[in-house]
Amino acid sequence: MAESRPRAAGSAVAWWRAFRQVRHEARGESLAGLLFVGPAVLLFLTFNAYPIVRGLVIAFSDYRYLVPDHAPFNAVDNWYEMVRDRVFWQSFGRSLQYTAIYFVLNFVLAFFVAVLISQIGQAREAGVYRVMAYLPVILPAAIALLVWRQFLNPEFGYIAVLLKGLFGSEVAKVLRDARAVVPTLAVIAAWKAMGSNVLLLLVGLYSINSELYEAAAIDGAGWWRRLMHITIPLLLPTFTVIFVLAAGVLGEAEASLIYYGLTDAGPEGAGRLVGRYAYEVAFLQGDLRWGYAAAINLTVGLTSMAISGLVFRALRSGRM
Amino acid sequence: MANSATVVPVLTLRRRTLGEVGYAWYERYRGGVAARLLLWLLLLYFLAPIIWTIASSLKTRAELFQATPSFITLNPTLANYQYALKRLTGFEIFFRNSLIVTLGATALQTVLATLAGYGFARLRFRGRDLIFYTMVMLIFVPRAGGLMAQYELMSFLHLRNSLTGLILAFSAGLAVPVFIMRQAFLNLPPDFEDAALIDGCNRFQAFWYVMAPMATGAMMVVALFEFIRVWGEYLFTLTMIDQRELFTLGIGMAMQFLGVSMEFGEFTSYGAQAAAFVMASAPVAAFFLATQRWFVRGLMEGLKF
Repeated sequence: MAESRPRAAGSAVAWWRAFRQVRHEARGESLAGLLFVGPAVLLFLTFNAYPIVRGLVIAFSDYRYLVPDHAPFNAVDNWYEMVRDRVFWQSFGRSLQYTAIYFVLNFVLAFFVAVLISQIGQAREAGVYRVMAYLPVILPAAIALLVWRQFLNPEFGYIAVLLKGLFGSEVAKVLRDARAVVPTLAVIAAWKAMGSNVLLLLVGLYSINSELYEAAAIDGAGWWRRLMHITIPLLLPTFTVIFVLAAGVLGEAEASLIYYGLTDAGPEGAGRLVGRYAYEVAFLQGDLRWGYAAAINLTVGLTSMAISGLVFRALRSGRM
Repeated sequence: MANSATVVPVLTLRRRTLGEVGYAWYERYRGGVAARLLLWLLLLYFLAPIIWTIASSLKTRAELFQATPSFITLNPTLANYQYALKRLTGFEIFFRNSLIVTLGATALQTVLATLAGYGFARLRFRGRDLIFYTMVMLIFVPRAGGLMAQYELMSFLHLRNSLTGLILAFSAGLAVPVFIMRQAFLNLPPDFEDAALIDGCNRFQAFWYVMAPMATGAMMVVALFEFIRVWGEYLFTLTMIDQRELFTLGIGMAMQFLGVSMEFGEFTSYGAQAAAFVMASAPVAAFFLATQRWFVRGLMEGLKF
């Protein structure tokens, strides 16, 4: 089967090849091509490609939206400021913690759920479980976070009542603690995203040849050894995809903006993840410093790309 | 060998106690019991907030304010829904806006992605692969000032505070959908199409009557992803829409229940909130349940998006 998911390195190579060849291509069905591809490309260029490129330019300027005609190019001055910006470093640290918790939870639980579902022989029953696991993914972000907000409400939420009942009201105070903010947001975000990882892993699991397991069973390999020596090695490509997608949440802003609202960043500001900080700088504070906010986003984006690149290489080499 | 003497009586005993039907069930699910229990426990984490919300929306006032809230309700009532619809001013408007934007963006994106996917997969013209791989490459470029640049662009085009603007911007995220559709058309055997062309169809007819009907699975996947994404979108809409009568459900509900905007008045009843959440999620859940067969099949066929 052809490659079914775009990959950064692969598409760069393919792009370069296409670029080199374009002069030698025949015109072929240019009119039909224009009619089929044209509308989509036009829309894409206007509302997607242009803002991405323009956004990169903004990151190297001191663009302040509320100051009229003020967008001077300032090279890397934004980064000089960022290095000394304590709020940036704090929020960046929170985002790293957030991403780590998000990833571990997401990955471990999704893996176990997927393995268990893949062992259900009845097709209908397995279908029901797949739908259940995917339900949180389809919920609107705002609804999902508001539901959890009710669920975790320190006074009447179900979790609070449960904690009080089991461990007493001292433990239940955890729900108000500033240190609990980042883990809470990460748990909710992982809950919301896990279903798509379950499906990705299931696609991988279903495509493993069952004869491998039979042969291993005949050779005396138990459940655990089959998991370690067949399932996990053959799922490594899927793991890579999940790692890369998880690294993408480093700059996430939505969860905190919905959970605590626009004006409040949670107890002691602990809900200010770096994505939220950039949003505040760009749209809520002072004269809306778009240049600085774009520079923050660019830093975060490059960091998450670097993380996923490292993971990709590590898993690649561990595969042999 | 000593075991077989004891095994047989145990089996007959089980058959006798469980009855024929019960024994058939036992045979079918035996061995998977422990795995199922573990799976159900894990799935409870996925479903608990959802079940609890649906249950809360059906509870009576007395049940809602019990000292120890129950997880489910025994005498369901629709009173919370009536109360929510009456008190949550603007719910119908938010709902209508969400529906317009979501259906518009889903339809537009699916049509454009299908056409373009076919063009990139089947037509030969200069620059085809260069354009396609440029689109794919842009997926990996960090969105540094993307939201700001979009704000600028939408203001310039007078598309801020406009549902049309939202539809255009949402359906423009075409890189992945075009990738999926191109893949789907590449996986179809070209023979059908060649036959249609030889029989005198033009390109569009070959696409419309022969190829597109065979790619409906991938179209469903594209449509479902877009529906879910747009119905649940928050940050972009929040940034582009200032007027309350143009809010979509997500924004409207968040403003309402976070008390950001005072004009909604106080609306804190627990059960009514839950009822509003259920109503706001119902369309996307219904769409998912109706299309999930295509969706899962599409994924299994290797469209891993």
